[in-house]
Amino acid sequence: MGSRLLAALSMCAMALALAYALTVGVFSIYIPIELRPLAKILVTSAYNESTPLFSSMTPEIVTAVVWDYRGIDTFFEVAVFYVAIVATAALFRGIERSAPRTSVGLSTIVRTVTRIVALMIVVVGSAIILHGHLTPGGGFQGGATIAVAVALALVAYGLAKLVEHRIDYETSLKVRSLGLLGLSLSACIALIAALILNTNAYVFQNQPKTYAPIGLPYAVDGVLISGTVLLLNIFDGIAVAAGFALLLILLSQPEDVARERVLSSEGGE
Amino acid sequence: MMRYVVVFLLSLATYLVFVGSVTLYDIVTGIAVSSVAATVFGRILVRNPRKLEVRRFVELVRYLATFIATEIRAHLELAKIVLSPNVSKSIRPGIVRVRYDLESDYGVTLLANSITNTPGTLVVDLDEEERALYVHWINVRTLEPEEIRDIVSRSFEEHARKIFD
Repeated sequence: MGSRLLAALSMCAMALALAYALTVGVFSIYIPIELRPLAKILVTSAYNESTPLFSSMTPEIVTAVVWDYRGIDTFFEVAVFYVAIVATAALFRGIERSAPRTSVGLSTIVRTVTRIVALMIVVVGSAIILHGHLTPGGGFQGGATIAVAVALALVAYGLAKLVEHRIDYETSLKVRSLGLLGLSLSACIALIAALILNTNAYVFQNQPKTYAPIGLPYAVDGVLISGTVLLLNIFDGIAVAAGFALLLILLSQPEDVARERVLSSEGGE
Repeated sequence: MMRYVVVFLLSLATYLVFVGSVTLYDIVTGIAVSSVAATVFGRILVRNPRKLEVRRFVELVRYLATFIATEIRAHLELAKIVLSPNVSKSIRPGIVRVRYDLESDYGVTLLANSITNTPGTLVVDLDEEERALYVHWINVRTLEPEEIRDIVSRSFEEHARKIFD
């Protein structure tokens, strides 16, 4: 009995120590008071109403860097992801519509829960996209979150059921193209306006600069939207969600249906 | 129409809880997102809008009260087993078949999840043709089908029927 009591006491002590380490311990980690030069530049320029010509007017610094400070860099990162999807689509050429006719899916319990959870995942993903300029997150993160709903539905319901509901190759390709088009237009929106008004502007310009007076408003009626950053986040989110959905749909096609398709088309020629 | 309103409210609540603030921007974007989500998910989530009655929501609240009470009782029971001097003597693990009599998908899901969420019992399989759940039970006290149903699922099943069937 004595050893049991000792074991119980030592367990309690360990739980207390862990609780202490997780709360008090973590918060007392040494944080330097002095900012490094690069951090100083970012903190003073990411959102600063007193110097609008040098500010990106985006409180979330990572998003400010990604879509404003180095927008073109991000554009090519996005392009790499799309080239990967295009390459996958090319690999599946000829069999990209090989969904089985019927699918059973998992049990009623899993399917019912998936229906509810899919709605919540899509809503949370949209919230991540729309708050990209305010809190950590943004287009890519939110888009990837939304694609999780597609992945869950694929497992719980099977590909045939999704195709029945028009979540298929065609739809995801169209939505993805729409997102990409919107992304390119938002990147050039200041440039297009400048061409019409006959002034100067940059590609991926967000706020007005010294020799390029055109920019999107960073707030509408006092509500912060951070100019093009919000637009870029929205279209990037749409394109990424549809891109992942396209990949998942292609990869979950069964081989036997694809083989049937290929053999029948060869025989037909 | 009702089905879209209900799905809209669910998604708006999810949105605002996730965002964690209620500024003008959150409300405007939340309404926009929820409208789109409601049109897409309305038919998927609510198959029979005539079932959306106040009576059923009241039953849902009553179910939650029962569920929490059962949950506390089951936790205490399991804690007693874990802390007993000889664990292997106080348990009798096994898998039992529990029949159910529910029509709707939501009802079956609520029943199965309630059983799984109560410590000591865990749904491992569902046979829709036989209308039976296979439940792993840490302490199989009886092998009589009706008695098993009384202990494991009766109250949950009645609540699920009142809410969803």
